Amino acid sequence: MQEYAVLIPLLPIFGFILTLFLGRKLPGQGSFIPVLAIAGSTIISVGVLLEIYPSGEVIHQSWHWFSLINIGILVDPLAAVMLCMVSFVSLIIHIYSMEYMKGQGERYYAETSLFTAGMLGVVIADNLFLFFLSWELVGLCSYLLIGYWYRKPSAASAAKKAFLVTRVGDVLLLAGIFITYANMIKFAPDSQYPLSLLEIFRHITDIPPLQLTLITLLFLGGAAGKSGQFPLHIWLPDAMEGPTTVSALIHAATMVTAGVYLVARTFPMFLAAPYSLVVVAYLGAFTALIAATMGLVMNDIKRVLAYSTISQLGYMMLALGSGAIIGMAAVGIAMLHLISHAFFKALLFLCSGSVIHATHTNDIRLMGGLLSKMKITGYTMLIGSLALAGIPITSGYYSKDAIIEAALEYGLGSGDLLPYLMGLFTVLLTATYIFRAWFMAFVGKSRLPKGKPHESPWLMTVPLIILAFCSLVFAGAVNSWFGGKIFVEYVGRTFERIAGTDPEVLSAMGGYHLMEVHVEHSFLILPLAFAVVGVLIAAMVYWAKKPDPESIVSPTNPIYRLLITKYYELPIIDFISMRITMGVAILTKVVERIFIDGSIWLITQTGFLLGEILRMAQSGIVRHYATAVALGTGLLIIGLWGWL
Amino acid sequence: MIPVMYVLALAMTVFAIGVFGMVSARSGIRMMMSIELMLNSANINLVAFSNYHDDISGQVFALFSIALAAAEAVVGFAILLMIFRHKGAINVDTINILRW
Amino acid sequence: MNIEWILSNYGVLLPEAVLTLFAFAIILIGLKYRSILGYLAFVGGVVSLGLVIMNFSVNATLLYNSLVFDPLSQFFKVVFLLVTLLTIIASLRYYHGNAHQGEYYFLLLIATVGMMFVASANDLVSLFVAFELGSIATYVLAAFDKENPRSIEAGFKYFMIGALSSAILLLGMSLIYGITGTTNFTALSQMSFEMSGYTLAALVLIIAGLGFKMALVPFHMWAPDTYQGAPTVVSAMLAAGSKKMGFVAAFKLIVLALIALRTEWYMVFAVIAVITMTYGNLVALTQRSLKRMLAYSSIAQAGYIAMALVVVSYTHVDSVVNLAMGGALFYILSHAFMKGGAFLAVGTVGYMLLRDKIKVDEDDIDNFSGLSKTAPITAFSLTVFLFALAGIPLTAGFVSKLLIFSAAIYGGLAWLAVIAILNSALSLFYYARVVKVMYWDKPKFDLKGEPTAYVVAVLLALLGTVLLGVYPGPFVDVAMKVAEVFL
Repeated sequence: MQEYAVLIPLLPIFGFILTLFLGRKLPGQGSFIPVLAIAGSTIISVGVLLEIYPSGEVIHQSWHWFSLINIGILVDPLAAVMLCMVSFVSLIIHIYSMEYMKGQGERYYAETSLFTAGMLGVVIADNLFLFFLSWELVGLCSYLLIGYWYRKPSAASAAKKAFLVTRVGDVLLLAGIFITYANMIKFAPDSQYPLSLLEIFRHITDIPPLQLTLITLLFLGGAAGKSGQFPLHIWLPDAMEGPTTVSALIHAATMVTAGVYLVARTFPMFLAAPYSLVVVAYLGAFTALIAATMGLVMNDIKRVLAYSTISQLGYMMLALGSGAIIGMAAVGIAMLHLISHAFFKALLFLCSGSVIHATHTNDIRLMGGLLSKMKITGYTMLIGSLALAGIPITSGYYSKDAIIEAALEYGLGSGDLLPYLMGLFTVLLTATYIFRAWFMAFVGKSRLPKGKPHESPWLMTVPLIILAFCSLVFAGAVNSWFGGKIFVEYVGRTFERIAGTDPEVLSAMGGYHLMEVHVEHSFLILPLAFAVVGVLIAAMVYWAKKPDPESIVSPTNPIYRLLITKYYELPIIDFISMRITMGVAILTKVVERIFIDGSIWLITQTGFLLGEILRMAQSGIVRHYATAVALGTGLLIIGLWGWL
Repeated sequence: MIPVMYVLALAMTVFAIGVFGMVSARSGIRMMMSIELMLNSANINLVAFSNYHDDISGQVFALFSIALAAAEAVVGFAILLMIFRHKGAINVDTINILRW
Repeated sequence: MNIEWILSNYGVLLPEAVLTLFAFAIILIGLKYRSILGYLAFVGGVVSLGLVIMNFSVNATLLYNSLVFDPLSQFFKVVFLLVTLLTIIASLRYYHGNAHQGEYYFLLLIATVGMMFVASANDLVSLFVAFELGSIATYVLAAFDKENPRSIEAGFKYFMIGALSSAILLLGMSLIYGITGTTNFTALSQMSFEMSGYTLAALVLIIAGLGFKMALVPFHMWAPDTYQGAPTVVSAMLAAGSKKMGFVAAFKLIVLALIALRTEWYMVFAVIAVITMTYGNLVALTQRSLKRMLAYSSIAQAGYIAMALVVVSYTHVDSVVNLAMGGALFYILSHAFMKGGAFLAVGTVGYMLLRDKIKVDEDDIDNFSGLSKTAPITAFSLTVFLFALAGIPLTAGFVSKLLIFSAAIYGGLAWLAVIAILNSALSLFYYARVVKVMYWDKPKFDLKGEPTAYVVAVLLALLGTVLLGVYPGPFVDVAMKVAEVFL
């Protein structure tokens, strides 16, 4: 299988081209082409993983491209597991959308195929240049897909917002890549391809640590843009304007995990960079907490899930940050949660899609009592919710528990328990918000104004069942039940295998003290207790109605108001942008428009205006042209005479 | 022998007249004449410099350029003829459907 | 003097000779059999291209050192022949059944011969003669659709400004001859010049005369009108091929022969390059006619290529000079594909409108709405060409811009690179607008099928654009190798 590894991102690209050109003429708008292509990618990915797993080898193929840039693929344990997850989840979502997006145009299938290809490219790239190209491809596709219903103004503006906000991250990432390049040229002049990841890892010790801090913080900025970390998370909830399957793709398989993957991919650089990992840990914990609180009050089922994604991505960042104490194992823990999250988040989104398909509304206040009518959807969503809340036996329990434990080790090792406490409290909130949504949608009396909901067709429910199965068993199977922490150890050793980097040397460079921390078993029961309490709170309020939710949800309650306005997100953005642009307070809303849309508008309008003026010179009369030539020549002679 | 400077001045004057004609003439024929003037001023230069340097290649160059000027004139008048057929006049200021 | 002697001494002239023979054969055969002329011209072009490539790394001079055959000249001949071949393929359909096909292909081939001789010229006389041969033939081509007043107007303006420019060029050449007493480039390059008003005037006159062909501001004003009015196949040839004739002449005459004056032309080209790219991009923003927009974009592209001349005159570091000139050569090659392809794609739509008897302006942007539905191949290719012109990665345009811009940065002209990068960002607006119209808007006309000949030409150009973008390595190497002539 190894020799076919390069086909993993290429197959979906072929799928894209075929669907775009032939889709209209084929049955089902050619939706089966991407499915077949991505199934091919999945089979190759799994085959490759099975081949390289026993020996622990690494596939690296590279071709010269031009000057100092190569094209290459690198499949190490980290990339291999990620490839399997991305292609598999994407495949499931594609099958589901064969039914869900029926009759919505072949462009959809083509673009999702390209989207998947971009993400697979991000994962498999062996150098930062190719990585960035694929990263941009992902961004472009997300723009196209979020704005898929571009005639709807809210969709168009959401797409623009997503594009602009992630652009901020992209610029930071690009700056980071430039600085890496400059440093590699300077400190490792003999390397053939300065942007190749392997070369960079080999030469980390040659680069000054503070340069590494700058680079990694810029990378983190890029990751924050794509992965919706605070304060660049604002695009993600708006991105719900796209079709639900697109949301599932963005949140589970492609796009948002790219940011976390970037940090994991360049983890040796983070480990050698002073302060960076602490920033990662705090950013992650803070994002996890703040997004979870916002998730508590959302009434749009998809937005609840959107905030939950931001929060869970925060967990993954927290896990990576705790690498400051636990070392390379952090990568394994983050990836474990990334993959298990991908399964249950895809499941939750597809369930919500099924619900929306049946009820034609996104608002959970209008649902209720759906369990009796949509049994499969209801129970699979229950499984997804249990996994998200971290209730035992489910995949989410094992993966999230590992993160909380890592954060605790980080806290005990460094004496700084704040990230751990934030993470722990988030467990409670997580369980509450997701079960609030589930109880409101599936139990109690139906509040639907009209229509009879019904179960979705098999093409949609079968993917749900598959994903529910994965959400139940994945993390337990690979990391707990059979012989202990297989997954974390396998992925955690990635960097030793590909570049022989020694974590001790690197962490000494970064000023981190790696150590084994002994954790009391009694502490490990805490997350579970918090999760159960969270579920109980949700059950009491939204099922048993004691206390009545109406009494809490009112505009007079200051906490509720704080949360429903997302911590006054818009006013704060307005305020900040106002300070930057004018320094004077004018109308906050107006200023935000000027700052984001306005500057682009201004540049283009000035351009258009100048263009309009300049084109008047082109009078169409040949004598004037001759005059221009004569005058130009004369002026050049005079000007040159004066200059010399 | 006439100093080369005088000839150069003559050539430049002729060229300037040509440029002025190019910029001011409304008739296509006049523009063609102006172009001939400019090309020939360069020919005067070439011949004079050839004499000055005592080198034959300048005169050869001038011969080539006279031949090319003739070829150019043929094409130019053909195009003007075509314009005349379409518009019945060769006022160049009215030829401006393509602009901006 | 037997045939072998001729072949061994004049063998390098075979490509031009073959093309000339085919040209005359075409005009004779055209008296009786019209339908095969295009294919004949195509065969002539292919044979000639093959001969050039076979002799790519020659090094020879002919006719008392007035013609030189080196990798530089061969590189440009390849570019010219490729563009001519693309044009011929598209013309197979556009001039199908036209009574004057013979003259058309004759002029096309003769113009190519002229351009090829410019690439080989090593003497003021041979350069001027070849330049005029290449120009005069294209004046007629631009006015070839003589029933169409636009075409005639295009030819007229092209001719008038062209004739003015050749007079200016000739005056500049005569001054150079007067100052140095020689017309040979090799001799000129070893000359040291005394700074005087004459040298300055000669230099500026030559830059002005060649600036006409390169379409540098302010000598560019014919270009938008001519590109818009001329038959689109001819516009493709003018923008992608004939324009490069100006560049090769400038490289030979200014960079090789007048290298002693480099401090003088540094400032001239710096000013011209900046004004050219900014002007081209700004005015292109407001155009509704796609051919006109491409013309302005072509002006802007000339500004980018002219950056190489600035870098070369500013820096004396060999590696940077090599990068700049190699970048310029690579840019010229990729520009031939991108711009030629874009014009041909626009021409495809114009032809389809004509064929389906829809009476509108052939190149208005409205005609392109929803093109992805009615002409998917053309729409996709045009998208790629436009993105390439804007410099999006994985296309030829990206690599060429990367090379030239990084040459400017390495050469210590970071300000120039910044202006150029801002300009390319600006250019994305008008390119993206076309793409948006093609893919998002509803089709306006019901067009029936894409014409095969055009599609073949467009796809070949697409192949070139993508190949140079995805796998530029060997081509960049060749361009760098060729550019060693300038060291």
